[in-house]
This record gives sequence, C-alpha cells and structure tokens, in this order.
Amino acid sequence: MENISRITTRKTPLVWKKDVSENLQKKIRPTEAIIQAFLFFCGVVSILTTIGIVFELGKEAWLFFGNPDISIVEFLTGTSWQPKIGNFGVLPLLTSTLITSLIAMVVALPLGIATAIFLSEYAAPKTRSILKPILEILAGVPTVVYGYFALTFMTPLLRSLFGNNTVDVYNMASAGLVMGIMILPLISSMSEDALSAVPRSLREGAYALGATKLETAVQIVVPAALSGIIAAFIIGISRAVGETMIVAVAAGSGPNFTFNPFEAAETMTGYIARISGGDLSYNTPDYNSIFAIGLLLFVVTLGLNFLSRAISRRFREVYE
Amino acid sequence: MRRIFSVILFVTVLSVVVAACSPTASATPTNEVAPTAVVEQPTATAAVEPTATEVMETDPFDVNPADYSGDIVMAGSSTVYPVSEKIVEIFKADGYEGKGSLKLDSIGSGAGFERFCTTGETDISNASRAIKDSEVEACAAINRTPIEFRVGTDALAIVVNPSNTFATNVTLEELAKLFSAEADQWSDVNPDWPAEDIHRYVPGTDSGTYDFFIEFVMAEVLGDSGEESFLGAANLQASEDDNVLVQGVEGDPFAIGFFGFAYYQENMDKLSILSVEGITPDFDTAEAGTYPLARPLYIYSDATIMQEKPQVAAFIAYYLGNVSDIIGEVGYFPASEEAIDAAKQAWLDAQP
Repeated sequence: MENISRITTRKTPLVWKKDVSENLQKKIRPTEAIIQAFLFFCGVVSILTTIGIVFELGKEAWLFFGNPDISIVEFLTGTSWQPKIGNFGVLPLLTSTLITSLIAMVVALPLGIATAIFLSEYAAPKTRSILKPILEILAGVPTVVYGYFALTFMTPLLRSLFGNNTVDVYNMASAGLVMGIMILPLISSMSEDALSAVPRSLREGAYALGATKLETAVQIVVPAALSGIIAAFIIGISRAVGETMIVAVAAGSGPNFTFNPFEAAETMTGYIARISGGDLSYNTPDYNSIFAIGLLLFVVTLGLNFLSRAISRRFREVYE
Repeated sequence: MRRIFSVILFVTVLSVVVAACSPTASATPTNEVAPTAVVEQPTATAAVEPTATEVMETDPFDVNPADYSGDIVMAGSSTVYPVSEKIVEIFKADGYEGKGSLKLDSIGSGAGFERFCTTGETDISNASRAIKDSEVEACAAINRTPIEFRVGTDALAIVVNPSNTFATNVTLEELAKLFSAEADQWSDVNPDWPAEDIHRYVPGTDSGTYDFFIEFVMAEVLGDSGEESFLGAANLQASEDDNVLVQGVEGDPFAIGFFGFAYYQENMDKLSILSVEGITPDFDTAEAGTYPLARPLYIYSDATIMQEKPQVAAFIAYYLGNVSDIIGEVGYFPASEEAIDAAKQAWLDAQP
C-alpha cells in the first residue's frame, strides 16, 4: 500500500488521491486499542496459566522420575503404591479413579440424557422454567457436602442392601454413585442445549411422516444432537476423574489394587489431597510423587478433551 | 505491519508483567517479631536450685494470660492435639488477648517438626514421640535448639468393632502379625478367630503414632522388615485424621485399628478396646508403665523463640502449670510429677 502510494505521489495530478486514501485509512482510536489489548490479555491469561501449570507439574515430576530408584515403567505398571517403602506403582490409584468415574457415568449419562429429552421435547415451557433451575441447584452444592452425603447416606444404604460384610465403610461404589448425581445437571443441561439447537423443521418433518413424539425424540432429535451429547459426556468424565472431595471423604484412604467397587480404594485425587494435607515432608520422593500423579491426571483429562473435540467434529451434523 | 508490531510490543509488556507476578515461595508471616508483651517476664533467679518451683515466691507457672498478646503458632501430632486444644481454650478463657492469632494445627508429629525445624514456621511443635536426631540437625541449620517439655502420657488404644467378641486380648506378637502382610485373615493369626479378612485402620505414615507402633510393635517382633510388612498389608486404610479411623472401625465388623487413647475415650460406646499382654490400658497401668503401649507426649519449643516472644514462653508455662489437671478430661494420663518438674526446670533454664 505504502509503496503504491509513494509511486503515485510523483504525479502531481494524482495528489488528491493520496489524501483520500489517508482519509479512508483506519483511524486509530485509543479506546479501541485498549479494549482490544484487554480482550487479548484475557485470552492469553488462560493460556499462560496452563503453560505455568504444565511447567510446575513437569518440573516436580521430573524430580520424581529423576530419582534413580524410580523407573517410569514401574510407575505405570506397578500394582503397589506405598512410597514410604519404595513401592511406586500408580495402577491402584488409577484403577480406582477409573472405577469411580465409570460408576458416576453409568448413573449420570442415562439419567442426564433422559432428563434432557424430557426438558427439551416433552416439558411445557412453564414446567421447564421451574424444573431447570431446580436441577441446576444440584450443581451448586459444594462437593464436600456430596462427600458426606455419600458417607452418611449412600454407604449405609448400600450396606443395608448388600450386607455389611460385602460393602466396606469406605467404598468406591457410594462415592461413584454420588459423583454421578453431582455430574447429572452438567450432562442434562449441556445435552438439553444440544437438543434444543436441533432445527424445528426436522421434528416437523418427522411428524409429517407419521412418527410419534417418542420416535421423533429418540430417532431424529437425539442422533442430530449426538455431537453435543458426546461432548457433554466427555466433559462429565473429565469432571469425574478430577473430582476430589467426594472420593477423599467416601472412597477410602489407602491405595488398594482391586476391581471390586464395594472395597475401599484411594483415587489419584484422593491421594493428592491426603498427602498435601500437611502430613508429608517436602522434597522427599513421596512429596514429589503427588506431582507425578498430578501430571498423569492432567494428561488423562487433556486426552479426554482432545477426544471430545475429535468426536464432536466427527459426528457434527450441520443444518442450514 | 503496524499491527504486528503492536502485538509484539504488547506480548513483551505482558510477559514482563507476568514474570513480575510469577509464583514466589509463599511467605510465612510467623517469623515477624510480635508486639512485645506489656509485662516483664518473671526472671528465674532461683534457677540453680533443683526444686526451684517450690522455693520461689511467685510461681512463674501461675501465668495470667490476660497480660500477654501476640501470635503463637503451634502444629504437630494429632494425638497431642486435643490436649493443646484444651489448653488453648482455657488460656483464652483466662483472658489471653491475641485471640485470633493463636494457631493450632493437627498435621502429625513428623510434619510438625518439618514446620518447626525446616521451614521455621511454628513456635511450638506437638509430638507423640521424641524428636529424631535428623530433626535436631534440621533445627540446628536454622539456629533452633529444640527444648523438650513432657506434658502427659498416652496409652495407645488397640480397638475393634463392638460386634467382635472373639478377640479381647492380644499379645505383642499377635498384634504385629495382625498388622503385617503375613496375615490376610484373622484365622491366620489365631486359629480360634474367624476366617475373615482383617481390615486395618491406621494413622498415616507421618504421624508419631505410626512411628511409635512401627518401633515398639512391628520392629520389636519382625525386626527391620516390620515397616515394610506393615505397609504391604492388604486392606490398609491410613489417615492422619483419627476420626476417619474411628468411623472405619465403627462400621466394619472385622476391623482393627489403633490411635491415641483420647479418641477411644471419646468414642467408647462405638468401639471395643483390646488388652495387650493381658493388661488393659487405664490410669494405673499407663502411669506405672505396665501397659506395653504407654508412651510419652511432648511439646517442643526453642529458647530464642521463648525470649523473643514472651507470649510463647508464657503459654508454655501456663501449659505446664495446668496440663496435669485437664489431661484426664481429654482422655490421656498425667505425666509423673518428676517428669513435669523436669519440664518446668527446662523452661526455667530457657529464660534469659
């Protein structure tokens, strides 16, 4: 642009043109620039925070894996976690995290989607305007309250159903079930948004072909909103994997390599919470181990997020 | 072009800002010198005499908390916690002014010494075991010389579920086996006991109670492999929070656990206590030391801290003057008079 204008200015008759081009040039308004910079800053803050967290986790985890007694293979495949006596196998913590999350999703997914279908397809606007806020109250309950709900309500319930000898005082099942209740509003509200976004013409087309309301909802609307529902599902899993208070209170406080949900077993987050609660010395392998576990946790949730993006892209249905 | 420059400029400025705000080691406010006390310390003129406390006209251990203010920071053993908590309560009730600045944390003896000796965050460290040499060295590195004050005696309580009627007494050997990887079921320890899994509820690895149990039970019976065997056992739940252990044993018919006597005393109706080697823990057996798992309880401080912060010295004096009267209420047993006198002497020696 400037080159061109420089060439053109040589010819006197065209001088007026330069003036016009200057007039048309974007005028820099200081407030605009400040706002732009501020918005940019907001965007960058979250990125920098992530980088900072990864850096800290990586640095401390590096110290942990730098210890000659600890091999990364042993860390990932060992079945005993007792840092005090040099057993650094993360599997017991990982399995219990996966089991509690799985139980939570088994509760939250069907209930959440059913709720979403009801709210978006069946409920009258008035019913919805009452039901939805009530459901969202569930999301506002502090997780430590859920933890004690699991310990003092869900565990006794499970024990009266299956017997005191089958179900431990602290067990993964009750933590997982309550975690499912906690995630329910997240799943139902995100799925409901996805269902409501499906164009009305699709439903009307289905009705025109003679489909019932249920057929329309299950065979037309849900598949059309599948990408949104899957995204909700994956975010729910991430939430379950990272949930701390419920499992710290109700799932037990000893690493235990088991697949029985009625046994007590500590999860990754539960271990981090217990150890960082002030009962370990700094700069010991045990202390550094919580960062290695934190890093693993971060990798798991990051992986789930990527998966969620990939899946929602794969299943995305675009209308109009 | 100009836009790119402005972005680059902006990022540079931003990175400077972020660098300035980057995380620094969390500062600990505890080392600030507290406002000096209004009243002068009673000087220990008679410190040379062994029974100084009785000879002196004004008893330095008859402290009036209302005369003191400023912060006192304490942390350490969850076993000693209820005792210190009670002392703090009456110290405040007697008129201590710095109400908000008296801190007491229950984090385990080891973590307590960590804060006292390594980071120097606390003024007083509670412990249910004597300080280790490595911890004394760590203290020396930050110019602190720990002074030990005996405050009481605990009888480690071995507890089971009330529905457990088969076990009422254990020998030390059986006890070690019950908590070792050698035994999975109760019948592995004693053939008269049922073939059910042993569920173990134990204090976390950084608590003094854990150290005590490893040293006096596991290592005593199984030697050096005791600790490994203890931590390698199945169905092991470890927590620094003794209430978690109480809840566990309370709800689990084949559970066994151990913790300080106070937590048993508080939950007597929900738990059954075992006798060890035929001796039931109570006032007499703990006092006489015949109960095999009786152990001393301590608080630790440092002469310099006590001189720089008169409120800390006053608090410890108050502690030593009152602990034997209240410790029974909390669920432990008073230390012998000689032990308390020795602690008082140590306090007097720490005065300038």
